[in-house]
Amino acid sequence: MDLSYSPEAEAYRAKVRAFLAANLPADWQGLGALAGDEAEEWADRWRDVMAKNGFLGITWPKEYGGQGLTKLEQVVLGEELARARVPQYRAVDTTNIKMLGNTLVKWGTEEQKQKYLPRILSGEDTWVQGYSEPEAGSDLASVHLKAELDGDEWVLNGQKIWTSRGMEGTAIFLLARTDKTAAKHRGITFMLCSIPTPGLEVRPIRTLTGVEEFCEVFLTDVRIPVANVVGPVNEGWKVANSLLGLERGEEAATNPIYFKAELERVIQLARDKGRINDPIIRDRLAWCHMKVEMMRFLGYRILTAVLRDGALGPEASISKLFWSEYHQVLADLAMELLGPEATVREGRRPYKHYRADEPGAANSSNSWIDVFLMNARSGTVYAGTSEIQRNILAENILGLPKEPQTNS
Amino acid sequence: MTVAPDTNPASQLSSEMFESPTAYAAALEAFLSTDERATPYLGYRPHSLEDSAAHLTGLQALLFDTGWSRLGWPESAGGLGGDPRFRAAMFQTLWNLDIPIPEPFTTLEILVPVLLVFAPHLSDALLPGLLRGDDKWAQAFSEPDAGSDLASLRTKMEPDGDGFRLSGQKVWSTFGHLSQRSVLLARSGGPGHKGLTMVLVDLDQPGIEVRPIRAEDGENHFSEIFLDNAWVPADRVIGTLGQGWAIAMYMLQWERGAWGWLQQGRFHQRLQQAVELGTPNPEFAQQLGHAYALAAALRLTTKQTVERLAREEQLGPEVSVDKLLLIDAELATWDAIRAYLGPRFEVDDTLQWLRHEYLFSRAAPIYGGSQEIQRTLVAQRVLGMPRD
Amino acid sequence: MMDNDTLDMLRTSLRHVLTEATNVPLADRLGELGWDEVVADDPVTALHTLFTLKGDTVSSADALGPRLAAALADALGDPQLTTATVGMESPFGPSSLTDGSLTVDAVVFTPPSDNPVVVRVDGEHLAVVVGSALTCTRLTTTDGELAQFRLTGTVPASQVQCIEGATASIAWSAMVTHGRWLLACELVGIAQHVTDSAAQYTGERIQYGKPIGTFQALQHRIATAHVLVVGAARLAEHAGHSGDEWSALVAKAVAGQAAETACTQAQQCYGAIGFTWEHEFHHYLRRTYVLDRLLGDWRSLEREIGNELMNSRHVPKIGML
Repeated sequence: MDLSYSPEAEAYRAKVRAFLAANLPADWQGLGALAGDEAEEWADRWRDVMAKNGFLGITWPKEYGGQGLTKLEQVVLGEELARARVPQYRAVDTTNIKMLGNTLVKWGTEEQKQKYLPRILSGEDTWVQGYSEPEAGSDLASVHLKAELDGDEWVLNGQKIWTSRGMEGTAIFLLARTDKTAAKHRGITFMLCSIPTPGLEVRPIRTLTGVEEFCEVFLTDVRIPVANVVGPVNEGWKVANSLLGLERGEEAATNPIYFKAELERVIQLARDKGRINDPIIRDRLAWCHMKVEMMRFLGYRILTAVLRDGALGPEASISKLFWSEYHQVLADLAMELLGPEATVREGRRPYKHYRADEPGAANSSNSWIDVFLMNARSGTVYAGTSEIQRNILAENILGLPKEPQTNS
Repeated sequence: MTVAPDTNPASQLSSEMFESPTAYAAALEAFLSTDERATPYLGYRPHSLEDSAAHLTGLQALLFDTGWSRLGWPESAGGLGGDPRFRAAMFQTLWNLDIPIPEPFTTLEILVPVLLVFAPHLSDALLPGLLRGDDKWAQAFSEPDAGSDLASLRTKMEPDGDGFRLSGQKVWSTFGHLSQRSVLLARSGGPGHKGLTMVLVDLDQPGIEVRPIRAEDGENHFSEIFLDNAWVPADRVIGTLGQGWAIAMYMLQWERGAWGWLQQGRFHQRLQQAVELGTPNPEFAQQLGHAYALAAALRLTTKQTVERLAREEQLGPEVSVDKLLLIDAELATWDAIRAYLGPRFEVDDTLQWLRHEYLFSRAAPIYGGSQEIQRTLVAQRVLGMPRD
Repeated sequence: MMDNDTLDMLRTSLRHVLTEATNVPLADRLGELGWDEVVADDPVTALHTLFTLKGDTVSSADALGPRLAAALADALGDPQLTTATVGMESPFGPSSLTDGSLTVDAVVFTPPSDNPVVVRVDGEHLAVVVGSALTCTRLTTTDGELAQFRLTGTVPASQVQCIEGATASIAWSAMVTHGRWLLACELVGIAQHVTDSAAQYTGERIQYGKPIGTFQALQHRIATAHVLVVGAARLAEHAGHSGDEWSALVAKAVAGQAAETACTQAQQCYGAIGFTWEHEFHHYLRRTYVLDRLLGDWRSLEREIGNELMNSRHVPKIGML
């Protein structure tokens, strides 16, 4: 584990700090301090500022609008933005820039890169994700969305689900089954499809907290030109998975910063509620602090491995388990501190519906009720359930035998 | 329920005590707390398992001779009649007075109900000696390669004249080195469940060697039993040849249900000791409250099981719930006690026995069918979740 | 005592009453069933059945409010209070009685209109005031379907009937005990429903070519929940029969914990669908969350139990053979 960054990375850090100092209001508390539409609008505007100043897609080659920087600088940027309590971009850019943009950089044809990457950065295109299906959740590779070749078009029939911010999408990237005879992880192809397209319908799903964060996508005879395939036909699983390394490496570095800011809010809540001198509460807060610190060092290890090997090791499963299970304990504590107020909804609701909310949020009951019901509880389900992570951990890190077929 | 008149001259029992377990318990409590013969057992703290076994044999003899421990067992087997609730009430009373339950009683609770059904000739002949403490029995099921997967056990049982010869190795036999006999599961037929037979074998014979295993707390809780052509007569077969698995399953309802009741009495008693010893501190309130709530849930759940056993209902896989609650309650109880008593728990010489019980409590998720096995049973057999 | 056939019939009728779509108050609809006679005949079985089913069907009808009033009226020997509305603790602050006037801040399940309202003031006395003297506003709660209202207002002392001292404390405790028992039954009903439904779902949901319920990780989650639910059910039954304060306290503590555990384990088995309105589960989760916090959440009740054990230096036993 190497805890020091290169001089180039540190120089970049200084540049980011200067940019932030020049562009953020002096009394900036964090995006969490803004409520509802105001936060959404601010995030939209901020994204434009980031784009104009060359802080989006910084690892992409310059010819496509990027900065040609390394993954380490991307991590430095993530850290500095998290510390400054500003998001990198809009929520939907997670799938737009982080997922599709990076995938195209790695796998796209010259034509695809030239066509799409600048439009992604400018915000003209907004890509959403079409991976999961009703029958392909944890077992993501069992993709059923049927794709049949007809001349120079693929014809798609089937359904996708859990498309985050689907209603904001101007286009969707899909995993489709192009070879039914091949083994499960083969025979999948990564494709691009604009919205609207005849035969494609996007419907919102109402979540537990009443927010329409996810969508279902129905496809009936949707025609996609063969030129919209990313990477080789039938290699879509590999294309989709190649992203995980970078994504998780950056997360590992920024997660502890967001969780730390969130814990500070809980400590403030304990003060506000007059519980800060309660030895049990202090004990639990100290426990949370330890977890966040451990998360930080775990993050460094993962990051070091990603930067060294260019790929993510199975340690990422430890990280996923660690923060998701920590977050449920923290959310329980916050609810307990709220006391009777915890059942009455008041004030601003979270901007983010996963992991820690944006920093700067007020300790309103609404902000914690939603974090408790949605952000924290869903953490052990999305992006690989805790059960899946433990299997990976047991089998790939500890070398335990594969789960036996019990018949007791 | 029929109850026989007690003709024993030393009997302390009168007819009112037979009316309900509650009346019986109250009378027993009065007897034990006033009769000077019971004094050596009140708050008795053993120095070792062997010391405890020797000392508590006297208590068994006292309870038998005065009639108290004979209630709840059929007359044919030397009891005084009455249903198993009377036995449960006796255990509760012993805990109330901080009298340790003699280990043979726990073995009795598991083994004898099985004999009453599947080998009444053995219970008729042997129960009085067992109850009185003249005779001590162990249970030998597990083997080095057959733990949770009991059906894979290998100890061989082959016919020889008017009996059988046994060869193999048993392990985790509670109290084995202090017992004269053991109920044992052996393979008399082919592989799988159907080849198993249950027998009662004498341990004091040339073909058998019993070696104690020292447990974490330093005590010889278990033994290994080595069998080399050991002899068991045909009339010591419990049930019929090949019925061993079915009988072992029948036994579980007692092992998981009646045992749970016996243990909840202990958890309540130990929590009582802890609150007498400790200094109130709100920091430990939730941990103690949590342990107590689980012990109370265990108490009411196993109470219902004991009552069902008393009505001679056939219990099903739901008794695994009793065992799982017992595990949760046992671990929570000891964690809470240890936390509440703080450093004193770790270093006070007079609390050595409490530390031993703490260490032994860590075995709760393992013995008598592991927590994992019980959860799988509950999921599949009680809740109808799919099997692979 | 009710026999099994009568009980089955009662369950069927109650299930219907609890799930029918109507604006008629539950009390009126129960009245048509001859509910008062059923309760008079065997109150423990009748109420246990009603509240367990209420949890099972996640019905939002106000069954608790009238029961709290009945318990309080009974304890005070004042039949007029049977029609009262009992004010529960408000998250916004306590009610208090100063020299000249009563300031009310309380939460109720049904608007009191012009019925009497009983609130606890200064943590000891009870004050009775006519409902029309107070302002009633509906609260936006975590469980949007279970109606809760905030009562506020300041009333001159001349319009307030005050019940003081031990009489008030004893009556309030009796009401809390009754309420905790009923809430324990309702939470057990929720927990049983959630556990059984999740067990069934895992048999239907296929991933990796087999039902996810075949995976031991999920079997053990649901089994863990079931064990606590069984313990909670026994405690709730006992609390009904014994009617004592301590049993109700322990029953509510374990029931709240069991319902929360059942929801947590079930939600992990449901996966993403458990986070949406596409599935019924979210009703149960949000209901659990609100009910657990009425008359003491499970963690604070556990603390109450622990403090009582330490301070009294006595560990009571619930239930005798």
